[in-house]
Amino acid sequence: MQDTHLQRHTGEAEPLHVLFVDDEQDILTTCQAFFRSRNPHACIHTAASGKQALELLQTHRVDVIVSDYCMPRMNGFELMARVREMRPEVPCILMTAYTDVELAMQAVNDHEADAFLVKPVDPEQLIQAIQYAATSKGVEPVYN
Amino acid sequence: MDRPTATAAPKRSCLQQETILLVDDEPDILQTTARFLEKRLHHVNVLTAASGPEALAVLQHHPVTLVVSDYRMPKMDGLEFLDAVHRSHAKMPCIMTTAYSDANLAIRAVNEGKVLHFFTKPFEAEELAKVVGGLLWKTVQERARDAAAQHAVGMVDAPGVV
Repeated sequence: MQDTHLQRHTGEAEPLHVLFVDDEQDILTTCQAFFRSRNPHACIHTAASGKQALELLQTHRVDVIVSDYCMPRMNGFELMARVREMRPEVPCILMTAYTDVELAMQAVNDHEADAFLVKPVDPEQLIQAIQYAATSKGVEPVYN
Repeated sequence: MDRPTATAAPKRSCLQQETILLVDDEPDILQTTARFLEKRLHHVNVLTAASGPEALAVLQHHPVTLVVSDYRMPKMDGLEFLDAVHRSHAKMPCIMTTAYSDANLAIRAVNEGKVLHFFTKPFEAEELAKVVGGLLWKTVQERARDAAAQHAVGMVDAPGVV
């Protein structure tokens, strides 16, 4: 079953749709470049805030979300809680500049984070985490 | 091991019996936790193992729905063990327990160990039972959904048609 998802996401006909959320434009650009270099056919969306991410989620297909934790107005946990309500099947990866045990435990225990990446994010780890999240969660493509 | 590891008397329940595997090198913790979970979760059968290699052997012979593993164990640590588990059982839901509340370990547990919950010792057994119960319920629902999807694929072989 996992293989079919793998084929679905790596095949050119079914590109992976990833949403990066960060209030820092530099990080968005870097993440996008990392991921694009390995997955030239991926469909990448970016949002500068949680609010913008939720709007995108309502109108676009999104298979995986990679969000910063520390953002003004809506932090990464608040965004993930809203995503869980709207689209519980979408895996969420959290990025943060803080390596705090409480934060890491909250991410996994209370917010079901699929991965927890510490900034500066290692490109290999980012790519691996996205691909693992997409294939292991059995993401169903959504067509609008 | 004085506990029966493979078989347990079936308990009356409307839910199907699910088996979980507890792994810890401390026999007292292992036995107490196993007894508590069986008492608290009526539809759960608990298998125990004192090490990673022993647990991997159990997994080869018994269908297990969820794994709860300690981190600090001789021979093979919890992360090495969970890595081996996911090689043979890619979707196995896993919980990690540890006496060391270290940020890097928690991060490695989620990223490498793919753990769905991380407990630092001492923890409330009641809390563990709640998390195990919740994850089992979710896993059973996902299994049913996958089975229905498989059935649907068999009926209509047209990808993308919902």
